[in-house]
Amino acid sequence: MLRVMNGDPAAYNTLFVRHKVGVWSFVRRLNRIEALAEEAFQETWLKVFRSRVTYKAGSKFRSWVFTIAANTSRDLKRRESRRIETVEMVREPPAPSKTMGDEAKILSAIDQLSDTLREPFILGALQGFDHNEIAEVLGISPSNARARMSRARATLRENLSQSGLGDES
Amino acid sequence: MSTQALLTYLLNGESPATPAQIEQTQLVFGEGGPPEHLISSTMKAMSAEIGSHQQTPPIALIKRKNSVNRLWIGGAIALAAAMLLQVDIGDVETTPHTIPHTVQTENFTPKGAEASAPEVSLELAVLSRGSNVERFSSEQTYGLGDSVFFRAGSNSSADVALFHIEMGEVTTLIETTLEQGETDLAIGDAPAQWLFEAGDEDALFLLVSLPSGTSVDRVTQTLNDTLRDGGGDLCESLRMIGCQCDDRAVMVSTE
Repeated sequence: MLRVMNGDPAAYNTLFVRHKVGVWSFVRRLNRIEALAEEAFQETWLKVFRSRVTYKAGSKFRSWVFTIAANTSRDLKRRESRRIETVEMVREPPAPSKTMGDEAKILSAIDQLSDTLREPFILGALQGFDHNEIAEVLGISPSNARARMSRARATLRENLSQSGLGDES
Repeated sequence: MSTQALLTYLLNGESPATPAQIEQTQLVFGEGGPPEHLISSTMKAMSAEIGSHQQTPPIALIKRKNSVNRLWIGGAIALAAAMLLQVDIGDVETTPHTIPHTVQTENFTPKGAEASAPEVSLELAVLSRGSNVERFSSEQTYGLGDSVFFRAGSNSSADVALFHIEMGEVTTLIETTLEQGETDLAIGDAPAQWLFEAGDEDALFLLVSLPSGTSVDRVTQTLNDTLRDGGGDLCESLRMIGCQCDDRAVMVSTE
């Protein structure tokens, strides 16, 4: 990252190659509209360069780039919702139904979570962040991150049970 | 990973998950990488972005910091430094210094809510460990005992402020009025000097020209907002409120 801050394009490309899958996976799950996810992805990487002045040496680049991705997704969704509402109501994701495949049901149940719960859940369950990292990315306390993960799991369990899917525990 | 195993992990797993769990979960959900067209367009946009900044000096890290009292004036060291600056400055190698061409603005009519401020430039003169002035530089790593002086340029008379940004904290160092041309920033009659001390972090010095009616507080607020929102081009943010600015990054090594 220090090389990026010095304007080294090769270093920037290295970071992109290393983290592009994780960032894409994250913004794709945060944004129900694929075009919005693509915009968030691209804007995130541009902000990595534009915002290199705010990077703290020694901190984890992964946490920093996910913070940018989360903020960018929120901004885009706010902007998009204002724009779309003038034309049509924002489409809510379909609720998991019994005719869906198991994976689709699970994804749909995750999409049903509110942003407040979905963000920490995706970071924890799909990206492998611990509570401290989730807290850092979302700008909340670790205990809050833990509480949100717990609530996300409880809500997810409820969503899944309505579609006939649930764990045995 | 079976559906039941996946559900058990998603609903009961504790963070952090193992890499194997993460990998398997992503496989189940078909979490491949971004589409090829997106990779391509993003890399093109990145190249364009980097290209547009090639003439911008490297920008230093920013960290939070409380100490702001090292900008000092007066005293024997400052006077000695000032003398060294005056004596040696003609011999040192300097980076090309460009003051934007002067524009006669008397007949211009400001458009929009705010008239744009004069364009400014900032150069740093380095006094290395109290001994000699080494260079004007924007890509220098500074150490304990080094200090820098500030040479400002403006294409017309301008109210300016010099900011220091370190660890995300914005501090106003100097507020003054520049005449057209180059000026060594001073406080009173003595040249302003920043001395690097133990615990200093990489930082950014930012010279901002203020359009009429724009306060330093508003500039500070804009900088804080930009930093809080994840950064971005600080000068670009300031241009949105009619300011012009130039920045110089300093890398600090206090080992």
